[in-house]
Amino acid sequence: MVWTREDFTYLTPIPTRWNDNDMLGHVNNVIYYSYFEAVVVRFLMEKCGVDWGEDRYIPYAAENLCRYKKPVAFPEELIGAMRIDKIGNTSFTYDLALFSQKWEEPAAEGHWVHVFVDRETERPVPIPENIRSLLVEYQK
Amino acid sequence: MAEKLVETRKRYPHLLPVQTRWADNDLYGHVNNVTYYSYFDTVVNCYLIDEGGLDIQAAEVIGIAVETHCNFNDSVAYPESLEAGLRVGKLGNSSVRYEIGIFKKGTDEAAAQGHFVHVFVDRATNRPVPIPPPIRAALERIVVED
Repeated sequence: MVWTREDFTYLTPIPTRWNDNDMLGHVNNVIYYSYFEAVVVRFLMEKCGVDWGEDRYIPYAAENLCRYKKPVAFPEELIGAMRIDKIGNTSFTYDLALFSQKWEEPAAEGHWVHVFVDRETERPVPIPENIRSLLVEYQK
Repeated sequence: MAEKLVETRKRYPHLLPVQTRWADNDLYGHVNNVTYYSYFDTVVNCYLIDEGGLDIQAAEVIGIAVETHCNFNDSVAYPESLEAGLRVGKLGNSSVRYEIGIFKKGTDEAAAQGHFVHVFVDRATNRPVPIPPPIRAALERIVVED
């Protein structure tokens, strides 16, 4: 199944930068994860009120994956797209995609797992209830 | 995340020292997850250059990343020195799956582990081509069957 923008519940613009391109003239594979990170962090701050400096329970990246479908390059402006997939006890998964203005289908797609941990102990803790109920709203 | 077996050092026939840098740490005081993929990029490409003779400026056949993945088992932080372990999990006609482990100095269990799939393409046409023989020979040396 090919994802389109309509399959996602949160979209945000992703500007590219000169230095994102590598010597092959495309955005380097590593940089896609910084785009994914911008999407999930922005979502957590804007929609879930996560305060990285103050909150006792904070999300850590546990796993991520990216499939590169089509090359993108500076100075394109991309769209980062996200929906919540599985929600577990301490962790949850985002589905993620990057769209170029050039194609209907994603230039890249992947997923990202966040686990909530106690800032002091760094041990997994249940997803805080207020955040869990917001995550459900962005499931698809 | 927890279902995955943590990889150990002996499963990687090639090891490259990786020096962390100040800017690798993020707000949490750990190496940011994105940065691990730059360690992956480094160990893979250094191996292709040093052992496979890849000329990144002039080569007519180049590797394009089609998939990457990482499990983060434990945090690492600047100024630690790390080692990146590399093996080949699957060697196809035009593609290769590398498997990578990131180790803190002196530890046996991977702080992070993942994979990276390259497809070799003609630089001019962007079409997949067989892996060039010197590179294939280098990759064959680090194949580890599951």
